[in-house]
Amino acid sequence: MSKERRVESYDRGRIEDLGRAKDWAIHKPGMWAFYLHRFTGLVLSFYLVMHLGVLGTGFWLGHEEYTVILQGLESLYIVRVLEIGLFAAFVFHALNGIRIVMFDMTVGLDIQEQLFYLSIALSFAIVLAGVPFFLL
Amino acid sequence: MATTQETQKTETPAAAEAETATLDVFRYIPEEDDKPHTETYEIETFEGMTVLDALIKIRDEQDPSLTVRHSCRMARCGSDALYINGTQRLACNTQVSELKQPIDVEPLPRFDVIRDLVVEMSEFYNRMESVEPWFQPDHEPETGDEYLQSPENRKNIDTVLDCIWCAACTSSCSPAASDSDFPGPAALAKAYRFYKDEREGEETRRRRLEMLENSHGIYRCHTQFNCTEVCPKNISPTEAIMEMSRDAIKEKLRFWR
Amino acid sequence: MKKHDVLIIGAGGAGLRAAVAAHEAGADVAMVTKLHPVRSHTGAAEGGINAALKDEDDWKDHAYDTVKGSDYIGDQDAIETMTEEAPNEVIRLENMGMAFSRTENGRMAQRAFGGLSFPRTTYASDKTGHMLLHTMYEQVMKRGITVYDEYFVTNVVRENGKCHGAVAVDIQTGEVEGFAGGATVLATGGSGQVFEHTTNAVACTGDGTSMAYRAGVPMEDMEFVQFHPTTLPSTGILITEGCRGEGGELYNNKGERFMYEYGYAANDGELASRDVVSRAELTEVQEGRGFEDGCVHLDLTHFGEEKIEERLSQILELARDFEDVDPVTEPIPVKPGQHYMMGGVACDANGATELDGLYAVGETACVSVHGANRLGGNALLELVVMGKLAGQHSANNHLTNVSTSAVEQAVDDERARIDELMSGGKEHQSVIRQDVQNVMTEKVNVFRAEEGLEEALEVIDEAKERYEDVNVKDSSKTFNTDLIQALELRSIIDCAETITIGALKRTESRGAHWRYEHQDRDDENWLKHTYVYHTEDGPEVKYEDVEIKDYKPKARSY
Repeated sequence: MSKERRVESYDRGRIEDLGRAKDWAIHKPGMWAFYLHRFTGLVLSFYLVMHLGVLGTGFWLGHEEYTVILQGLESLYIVRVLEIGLFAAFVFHALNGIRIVMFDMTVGLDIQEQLFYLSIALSFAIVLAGVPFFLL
Repeated sequence: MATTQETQKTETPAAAEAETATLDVFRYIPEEDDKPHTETYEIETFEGMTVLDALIKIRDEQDPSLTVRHSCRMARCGSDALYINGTQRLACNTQVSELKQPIDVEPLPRFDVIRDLVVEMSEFYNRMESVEPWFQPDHEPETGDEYLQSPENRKNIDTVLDCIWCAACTSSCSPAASDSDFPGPAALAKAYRFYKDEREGEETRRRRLEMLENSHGIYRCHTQFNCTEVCPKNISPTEAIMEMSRDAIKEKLRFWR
Repeated sequence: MKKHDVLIIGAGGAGLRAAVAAHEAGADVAMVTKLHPVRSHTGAAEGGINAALKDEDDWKDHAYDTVKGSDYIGDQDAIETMTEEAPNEVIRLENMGMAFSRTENGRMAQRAFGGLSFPRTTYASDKTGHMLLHTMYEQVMKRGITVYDEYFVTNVVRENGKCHGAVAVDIQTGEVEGFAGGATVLATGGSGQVFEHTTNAVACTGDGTSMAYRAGVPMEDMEFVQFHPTTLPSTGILITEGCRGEGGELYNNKGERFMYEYGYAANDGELASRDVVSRAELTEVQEGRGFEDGCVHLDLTHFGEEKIEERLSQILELARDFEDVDPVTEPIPVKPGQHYMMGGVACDANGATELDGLYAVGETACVSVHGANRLGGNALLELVVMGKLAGQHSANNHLTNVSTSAVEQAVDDERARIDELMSGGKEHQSVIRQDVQNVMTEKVNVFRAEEGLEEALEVIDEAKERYEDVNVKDSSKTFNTDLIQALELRSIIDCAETITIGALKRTESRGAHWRYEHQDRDDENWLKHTYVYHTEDGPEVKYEDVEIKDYKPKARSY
């Protein structure tokens, strides 16, 4: 028989939930993996929109303008650095994606923490190796 | 010489006795308070003191109005899951000496508070009931009286069988907080207990899977592993959910059947 | 006011089983409990449930073991009913989905237990009680039986020699609520909280026993209190008898297996019945062969990690978490602690008491199937067998003309009593409670002496007076645990008093009851049940002969 409430109770609400979330120490590795995966996913989709925008200039303005814009962007140092960030987001998202697909196949569920750290470590290594290609 | 020895002798136990712990306890009495507040208590500790011991000591010696659900004090009844120093744990098997002070004691997050550390559990119980957690064999017992079950099959469900309904996992689960139709980790682990039990038979297994495979069911899990991390009985609801969703997807993939 | 055919007070194993049985018999059933059902202390039972399931086994052997274990004071009719029903009921549990441990061929596994002549304890790892409780609650959910959880029942309603229901405090709101019932089944469990060192939960305060007592039903054989030989010294947490059933060994500080070496139980050793092992342990300690804190050692190290993990996983957890000992590599320090009340509300094999419409079942009741000492694995059995019988009987025989006015009157009385409790007094309930618990643990323990018992009785008498002026400091209505504890204290004092009086008057040693001055069993004078009645001028004691049938009293040795 389903239960019903008998007393009025205090709803601590979403605000308090968020307030609690400010304390970084309470989040566990699995949760960080989730946050990072969502964040990098957002970065990638945001990039995709910008990328389509830049490509669109070739269609709307003609290919000469497109080349000018692209060269202009590539000459900016900040864009290069941002590209590293994009690359990092991509690498982590891909590696952690593999981790999540593994879970879907019930592989490695008991070593999820280690797998998360591994994807972080691998991302770092790959991104570091890629830095010269972006900055040269 | 003798006197110094004596003073030393008397001093050491005194120093040992003086060990104290500070607890910041969440307080809310509906008749008195509009909003919850935190009260700080200082108590003397003893060896092997658990957080529950500390709360009982506060209640008996300092403030009889402090309210907490508790019963068996051996991590079996599951009454006293609390939010202690940022994690859902059972107060009765958490040692005071292992915690950073001041110890922050709160009721389970995402549950409404009835009073102090006591939360409204009715929704949790309803979630548990929503997965039809009772034995539904689709056939008569093989031997005429008892159903047969291999020891290996029994071993598969040994950990999930240990669930004590303390709600620590459900409190830690963010999908459960945002989706009231999602049974949550405890209920899904309970469902898994029956799902994996070979005594129920293939027909029931299929029916259980059908009941659970939807966006408010097993597919709601984001594999955040919070439930697995906080479970005082070392159950991994994530593992249970993932296994069920794997099976569900596998069955869906065989579309030609 | 709420009205049902059958009211079950308490939702542990016995209550749940009774509810299911009554529901199957077609009655409108409701359960009223002060905890949620899955919080009940049945869940803490570890060892197993006895039943003569195998072809080589015979329920009559089981009955004999039980009679012998009871030190010949158990009612042999009831014991035969219970042991004969046992295989059916255990199979019924299995059919309800209870996850028993299995043998290689897929059948229910059984193991050896103390005081049994055949390994007939069916088990589910070392969490049998937990599995049983959850299985029974699942059945209650399946049937949609109404459960009023967090209602503390304070009194049963008696009018014209009949029971019309019960009065309860809604713990969440603080309101007093009436429950009219054609039959009221008390299944509130034991009263372990009478003692300080106990394996029982904080909720086991003997409320049902006390309620029936105050309604004029006698308490039977309360002096027989089981002390479990293996509990953790610091907390009283239970270490299952299954440890010894699987081959665990007890050692004193000289490294001797004292159960054999000193002739306490030359045949069965560690697997003698619980009273024998408890006394042996304490004798060792008193003679200077114990460890620190009055302990002996329970050694499981020869099992190897795998076997412990598989069969005794909970023990591993409990010893590590609560005693900081790793059973895989070192022995567990253990000492006797209060575990079970053989006595309780006097009733017949259907759970019916003297009062029409009032039933008792489980640890609350005294049928008596356990006599002076309960065998391990018989408690869970009693829950399901007696639960079923009481459920069926109450569903078929409940009163049809329940007086709701009597219930209303009782509600008003209870409201007045609670208002008075809340209005202030001198002493806080926790102080009185501790005094009673301490004196009981010290003086009414495994070994009992006349002087100590009298001393305890004085303290209890004083506590009764002090209770008149008890103080509830918490004034809130919502979830007032201070008030609930003050209400529980009355039950604790009632139980403590009857235990001590029974123990003082019984001038012999039988089963779990042992007296310094009278160290032998006295079959000539004491093959009797003790009945304690509640009167205005204090308890009144009566005796009744035990009916001996097929099993004649013999010297009891293991």
